[in-house]
Amino acid sequence: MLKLSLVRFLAMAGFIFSTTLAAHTGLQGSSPADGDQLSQPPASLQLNFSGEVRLMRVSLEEAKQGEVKLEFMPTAVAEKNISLPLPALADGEYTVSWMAMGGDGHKMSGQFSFEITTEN
Amino acid sequence: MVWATAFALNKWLLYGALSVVIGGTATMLLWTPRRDIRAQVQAYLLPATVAGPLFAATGFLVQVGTFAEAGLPGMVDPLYLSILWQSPAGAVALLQSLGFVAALLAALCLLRHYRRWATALWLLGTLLLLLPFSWRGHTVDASLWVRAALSLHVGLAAWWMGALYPLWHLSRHGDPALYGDAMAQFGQLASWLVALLAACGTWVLYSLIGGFGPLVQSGYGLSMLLKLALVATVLLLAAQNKWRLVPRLPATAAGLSGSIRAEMLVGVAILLVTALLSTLTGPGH
Repeated sequence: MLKLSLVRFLAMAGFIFSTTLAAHTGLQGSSPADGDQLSQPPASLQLNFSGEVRLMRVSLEEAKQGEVKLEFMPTAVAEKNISLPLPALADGEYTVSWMAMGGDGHKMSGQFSFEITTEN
Repeated sequence: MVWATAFALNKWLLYGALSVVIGGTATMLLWTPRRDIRAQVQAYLLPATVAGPLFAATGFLVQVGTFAEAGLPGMVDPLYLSILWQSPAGAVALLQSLGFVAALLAALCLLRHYRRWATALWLLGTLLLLLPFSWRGHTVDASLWVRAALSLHVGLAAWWMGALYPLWHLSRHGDPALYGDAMAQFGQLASWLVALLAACGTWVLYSLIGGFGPLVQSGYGLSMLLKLALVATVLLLAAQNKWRLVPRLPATAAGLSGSIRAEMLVGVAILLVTALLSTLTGPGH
């Protein structure tokens, strides 16, 4: 009886808590911004968070050519505004994926896209 | 989600060990008869003081694995180990481990009946274990008072939950004519401390979700209502003990023992819901 009640309770708790992790601090803005259509390739990638975070992972992927290698090494330093140099980027559709530790210690992640079209 | 669930379950175990060392030690210092102390320290306190640092270390390694995103080997990735160790996660694991070591020394002093040393080490351990709650988690951006209220809330809850096993043991193996006074004293003290516990919890919750309306308008609020329902249940059981069962001892000895056991089970469920609430969801949901 007790075992059955415990199983029911765990099942109910599992259902209630089956939400995704909360994003307590968020990405407030970026450059390039999500959905930007650029005529010039950007020299750097800037991520602006609403609070200090420890950026753990960032990757850049072009839709056809695949991953673009970035000079990024995670550190223990918490920052609100992060700037990363970018290599020379060709025309294409790019997606930035990032993952960070928020000020409260929780994991947060997200992605956004931009497009470069220099030929007209 | 797998890492977050593992972290929440580890947190649940850690809350359990924390409750045992805070509430269990206090109750043994105050009300456990001298002849019963050795057996209870060995069966209850020592396992928790040994398991506590292991849970603190596991929690830290699970967080390393969460951020390394490389499966189980990621838990010992040197780069992420170093980063996490320099972050608040490392400080929390260190403080918790030191707190459990102080609690272990307090338990050893209890075994030798060095009560003053045990009290001092218990106080130190409690302080070290409660500090991290003030500067990590959802209240990290709240005012100092709210964060202090959270630490006090955790400390009082741990005191209450951890006290239940020694009291249950007393109700099963003691002489009702002798332990009745201890139960009455616990009830007297608990009525004030539980009121303070509820006041601190209400204040922290109000600050986190910005009012009481979001309790029924958000996933986090609805999850919190489950915890509040369990808290209401444990309060009813405690009220029944204080006002109905303890005053009628020894006739109600068996009923009191069953009621304390039910309190323990609901308490375990409250700790589980709290661990899940603080890990898998947040006030923004």
